[in-house]
Amino acid sequence: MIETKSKGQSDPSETRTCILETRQLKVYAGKQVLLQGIDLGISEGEVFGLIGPSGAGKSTLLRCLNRLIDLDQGLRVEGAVLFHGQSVRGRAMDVDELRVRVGMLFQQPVVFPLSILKNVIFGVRHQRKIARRDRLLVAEKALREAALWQEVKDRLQTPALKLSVGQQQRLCLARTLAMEPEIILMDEPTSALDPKSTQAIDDLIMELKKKRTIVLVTHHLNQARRLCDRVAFISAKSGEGGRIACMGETETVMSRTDLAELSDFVGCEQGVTCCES
Amino acid sequence: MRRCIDRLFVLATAACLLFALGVISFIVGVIVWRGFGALSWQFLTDQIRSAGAAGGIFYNIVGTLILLATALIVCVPLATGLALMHGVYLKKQRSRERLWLFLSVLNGVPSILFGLFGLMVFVKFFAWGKSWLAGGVLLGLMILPTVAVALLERIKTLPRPYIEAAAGLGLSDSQRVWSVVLPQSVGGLVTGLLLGLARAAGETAPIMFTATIFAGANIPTGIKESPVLSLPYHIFVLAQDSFDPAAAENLWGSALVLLGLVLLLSLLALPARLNFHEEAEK
Repeated sequence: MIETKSKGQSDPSETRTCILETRQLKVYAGKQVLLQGIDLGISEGEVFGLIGPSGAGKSTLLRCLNRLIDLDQGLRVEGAVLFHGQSVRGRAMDVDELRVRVGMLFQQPVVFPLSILKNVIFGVRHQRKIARRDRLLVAEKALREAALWQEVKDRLQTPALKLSVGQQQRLCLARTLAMEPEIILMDEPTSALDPKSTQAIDDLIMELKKKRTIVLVTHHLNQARRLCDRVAFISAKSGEGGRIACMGETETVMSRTDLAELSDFVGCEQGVTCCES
Repeated sequence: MRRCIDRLFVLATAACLLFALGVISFIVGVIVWRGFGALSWQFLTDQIRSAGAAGGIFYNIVGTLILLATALIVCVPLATGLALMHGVYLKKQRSRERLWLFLSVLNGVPSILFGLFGLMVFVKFFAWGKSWLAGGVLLGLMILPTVAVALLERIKTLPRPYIEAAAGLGLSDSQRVWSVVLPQSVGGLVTGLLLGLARAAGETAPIMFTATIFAGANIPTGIKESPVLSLPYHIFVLAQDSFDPAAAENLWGSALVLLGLVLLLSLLALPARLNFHEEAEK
């Protein structure tokens, strides 16, 4: 099993054990390769960033980690994804249980046409029996963790769709947190949000990283710098599948100048140069 | 020139609309005009007398409602199952296409063939005789494609992120169906049922061999050999066999009641349908 150092630890020599890793992960859509030979390991308690240009396969990789990719018909997955050393694609793995333990926050907030309260407990009430009187407690805990409680505590029965987009995204995070996942996969969670809401989500991730492992797909390098302990840069040349071009501690990866694709990507973000990819 | 074509197109579509409205208005107008005179409290609450020339249509209304209720009970679970198979469980496109073909074929079967099928299978083979159950089951099977297609069309338009979000929370297939797919698609089920029951309410051929007689029945007390009276068959017999002017008036009165029944079904379903639309738009 891979062992990694993590940013922010008091003892730099301290290592953490990987709880989620991929080995030679490949994804195909018919004959087209979407991802090729992905090897990575994610340690407990770290924020791991996936950066790279659009279409490189970052979201596809993320969806492999909790097998949400199973919902995409016509895609074929090869290689291994291991969660605590157990193959997530093995027969012994309960995929629904996996998705409880490896939660997901999507690019766009997905709230159901229900009340705020019902949205928060939507998943957890299917996972375990909760007495009616305890539902509010579960919701309060999750909403507090998602820093939304103060804004909605007086209107828990109002339709969730009346919230702003930023609040909806935090509501989705609360819904995921209510499941008490070990890992949260975040697929560009701030791409649909204004700067203020983005800041709120960023602050939340900073807070959440104390207790949980987070895998964050982002286009924003500043966000990656601010939040991620380590990042993997995924690139894809036209006609080839996405692959990990480099991986390591965030600043180390960002400062690499020997990789043209990474330089282009970082340059684009900083407005230094214009790139095609 | 382009504006001219635009106006012509608008005129053509308006003409189609007016034609359709005209036909419907004419049919409804004639039924109301000819049937209104027959309507009375006694007509609605009395039983048939003098071969339809006197008395009322109480048991015909009751019989029709029994047949419709049975059809609804038979159809809802079957249609829901078929729609879920198509929209959720069948993963292969070819399997879905086959199911769609089956529903299309079923929808195209003439109602008289349904009647013959019911006669052979329910009346003779199962030995139910003429029975409300045979007619109700047959009507349920007949409206099955209408209801299933309306529901599966709604399932198709269900936002995919809902399914993914539910799956991402660890909901199993069946939990996703009960918590997301069905609550969000039930408007399609109601619409399909409304259309289907409206069609079933007016069908004569499937029930004339299997479930209904002209006179001599009231509330059924058993399953086998328990026919009911019905409005469509009552209208059919009076229109075909009766030369008595009083019977003709009752015929139009029955037609008006049948029309009212269909309208009532639409009105009953309206609040539910509006509610579902509002839910979807919130």
